[in-house]
Amino acid sequence: MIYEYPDQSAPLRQGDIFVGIPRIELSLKRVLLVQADGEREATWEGLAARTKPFDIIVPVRSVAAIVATQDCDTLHSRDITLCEIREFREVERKSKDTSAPKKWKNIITQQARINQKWFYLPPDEKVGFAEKMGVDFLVTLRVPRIDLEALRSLRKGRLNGIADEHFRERIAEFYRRYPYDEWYPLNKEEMQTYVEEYPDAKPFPWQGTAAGSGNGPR
Amino acid sequence: MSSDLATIDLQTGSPGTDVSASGAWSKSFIKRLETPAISQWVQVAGMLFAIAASPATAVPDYWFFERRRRDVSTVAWILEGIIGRPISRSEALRISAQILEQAERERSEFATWEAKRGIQWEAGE
Repeated sequence: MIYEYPDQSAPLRQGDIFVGIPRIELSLKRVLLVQADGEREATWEGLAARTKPFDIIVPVRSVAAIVATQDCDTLHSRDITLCEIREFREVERKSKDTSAPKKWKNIITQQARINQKWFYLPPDEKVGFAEKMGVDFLVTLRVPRIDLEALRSLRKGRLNGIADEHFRERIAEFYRRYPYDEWYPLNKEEMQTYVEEYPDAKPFPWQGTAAGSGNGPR
Repeated sequence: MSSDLATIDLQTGSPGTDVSASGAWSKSFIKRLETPAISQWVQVAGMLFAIAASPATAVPDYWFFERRRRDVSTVAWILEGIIGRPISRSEALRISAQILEQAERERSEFATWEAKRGIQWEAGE
């Protein structure tokens, strides 16, 4: 498919797919302190002013992930950023009941035309993807570069040239997005229809309904 | 003449050297005009006021702020030791698992919420 299988000695590169990267979860409401006299549960608000480092317990899950850091930085930077890979049906819930190839075709090709928050990865036995998978740009992981280089045995593949071109374009588009209220040019009747579909959209003053700031969810 | 020698000349006030230009002292003393007695009292009062007011109006008192910073640090250190609710190791691990489950559940809920918005690709087929 769209993958290559680099030799283990090959340097890290954007688009490298790893299986078994730690994803750490933090909660700012429940921080589990580890101290000499035992454990304590606190909030980050109460700890934020601390200047000295301290120890906490955090949960971690081993997940699949793809290198998002660009090639130059994968050679020298201290840290490497990866995006989590999960089953595509979990990342894009519109596809949760999809089965027909025609519908899959529509969903998958949309990513090249619309700025989505995911990147599609087809199944591949050698990489270890039994199902359609998706890169979730919203979930990033950070690991030390040197440590990751030492664990290249966890690298199961990488995007081929064409796929990597799409990936880097998509990830760049994702991070250069800016929020805007797409309904701003609708007239009163169009806006009425829009609000029926998206109740949290606040009309602008020129749209003839209740005054709003236009700063609703984007 | 080297600069060292010039310095000696200035200090000894040897002939031919314009020492008055140094500004440190005047070779020829000229009696200054006496100022009225009241002005002296004003000057003294001004000096006393300046001495008394200077700690409050001039540069910040380093020692005052340093001592206050140390006091705050000490209080903060004491507070750091008692912050939070004491829990057992097993409870901490249970909460840790809850944090992970909650994060994954919230991502799933967000994905579901997102799916209801935006372009419905399958519509119109």
